[in-house]
Amino acid sequence: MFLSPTDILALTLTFKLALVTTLLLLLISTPLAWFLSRWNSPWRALFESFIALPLILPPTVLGFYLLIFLAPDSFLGASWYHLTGHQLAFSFTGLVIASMIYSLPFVVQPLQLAFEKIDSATLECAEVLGASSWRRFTSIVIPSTRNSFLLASVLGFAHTIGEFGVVLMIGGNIPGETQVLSLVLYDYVESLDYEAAHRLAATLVCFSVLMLVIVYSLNRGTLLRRKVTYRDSSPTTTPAREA
Amino acid sequence: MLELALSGRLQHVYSAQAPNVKHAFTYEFKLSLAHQGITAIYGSSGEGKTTLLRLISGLQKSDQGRLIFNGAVWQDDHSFLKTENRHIGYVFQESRLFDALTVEANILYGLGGKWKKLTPETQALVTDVCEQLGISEWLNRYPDQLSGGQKQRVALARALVCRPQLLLLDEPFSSLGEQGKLSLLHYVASFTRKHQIPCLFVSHSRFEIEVLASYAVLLKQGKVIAQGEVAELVTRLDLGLSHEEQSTSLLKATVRAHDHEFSLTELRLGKQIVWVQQIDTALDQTVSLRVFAKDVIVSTLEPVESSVLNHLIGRVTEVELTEASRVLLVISIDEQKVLARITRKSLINLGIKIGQKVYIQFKSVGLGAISISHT
Repeated sequence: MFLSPTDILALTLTFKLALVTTLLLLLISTPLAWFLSRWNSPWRALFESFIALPLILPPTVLGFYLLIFLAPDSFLGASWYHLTGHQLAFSFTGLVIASMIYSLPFVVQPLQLAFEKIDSATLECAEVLGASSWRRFTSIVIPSTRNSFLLASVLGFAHTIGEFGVVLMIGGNIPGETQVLSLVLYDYVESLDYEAAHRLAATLVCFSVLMLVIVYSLNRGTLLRRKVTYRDSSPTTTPAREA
Repeated sequence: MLELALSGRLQHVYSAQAPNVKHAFTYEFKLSLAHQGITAIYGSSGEGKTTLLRLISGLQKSDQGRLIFNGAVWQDDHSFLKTENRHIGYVFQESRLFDALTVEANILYGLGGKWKKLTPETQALVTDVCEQLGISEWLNRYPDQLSGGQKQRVALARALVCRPQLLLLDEPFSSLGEQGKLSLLHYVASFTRKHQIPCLFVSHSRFEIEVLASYAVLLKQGKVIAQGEVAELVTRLDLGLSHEEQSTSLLKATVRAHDHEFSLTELRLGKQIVWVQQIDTALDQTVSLRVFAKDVIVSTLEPVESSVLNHLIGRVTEVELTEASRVLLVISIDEQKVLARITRKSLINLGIKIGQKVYIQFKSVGLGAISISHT
């Protein structure tokens, strides 16, 4: 076997974490990004800064605050313990919450950018044609921003997989619960098992290259270019003239 | 049909002429419209034509006021009917197609989007509209594969197939040539007549209005300054229309006979008869003759030898000095009025006074909107 059972366990856990985080983030970020793209207020800059904070803050700083925030004696940690009987810090749920916070800008920003490009004139037109706000969103906004949704998902997913600092601070390195790929790799290097580290690192490199290829093809619009079909196949009969 | 009293103030208005300059705009529209056919909303740019349409559509919510359409309250102090529930058609200056949808999906959007869910009647209507507008072959394309004019046709089809209870046109088809534009406007006229859809048509081209509408509302600085039959408004000297360089008058006439040998048509205008170049209209149909004020020749003696085929007898009812060199005359022919622009020198030489009987001849005559029933 190329990878050890520990690696496999960490790999599945990491993908599970990334998947859950990305899905939840899409759910939260879509309305958030829509709201931000249509919000005309001086407060918007402050709001956006908070969302972008994980981009510039050292992950350990973020991890430290999250550790305090999710600790059993904190309000959130205590309430969670009261409700479920589990603690948040050093648990998978805690990891999901942390991942959502540090991956938030990677999902919100591409969506917000795409939503801002949507002309309100087009939406007005749909409104006149009797479309409810829900139908306007699903029939006009989503189809014209599918690439950005994919981009946001890929970025959120990839960034969740790659994070180390925050996970180290609040994860606790429990196999099968919080021991993700980057932590396993760190352990290998610590214990000077360079061969195992190489295998794992190479896997991550391959994965990242794959992700980036997807992202860049999306940016060029080559992946999701729609198929164009003409009812009459001969291009010479194109009726392009005006009466 | 439409009853409105809307007032308010818009903070940020962008005009088509200066899209980067913001300015505030105050409006106070009062309008009671019973006309069921095409009503033109006329005014120079920046007088509030688009604002009025946006208020009626509900895309712009008026600060205060009342808006009632066919007895249904669309807006008053307590209620506001959302645009999506007003069941109107709105064709904008730009086509505003949905880029991510095919032409077909664009056209079916207001009908729910699914061809299979339409009734056979609606399917037949959609097919007919697409054929009439010549867009049937583009149904599988996307908007970015169409030219500007083709997009406008699709936008029109999208609005018409819904059979709206009110159609709003805001200077549409601007990217088409004059000829293409006119043929589309004629199609709109026949469609709205057939399906009895009242239509408000914004334009700053008086030619389009005279050719298409029989009723008009004039706007100035966010207020309605006049409304009435186009033929009446254009001859009113207190309104700007009569003073424009291209001022015209519209005369209603009935087709009496066609002379195929000389390609002429005999028209009855009140009790008088005129001959014009043959027009393609059935006998006993009412047509509207469009005469430029500067093409009207006025004389006090009955013209006997002239290349102009015929003349009408009228009576001068108003005279207005418009410039140092020229005057505007309003001449009554039976019940109707015609504008004539002549030089001040001729006025004095001929000794024309109010109440005087005059003979008028037209150098050329065009056709205006064919009158449709008024209520």
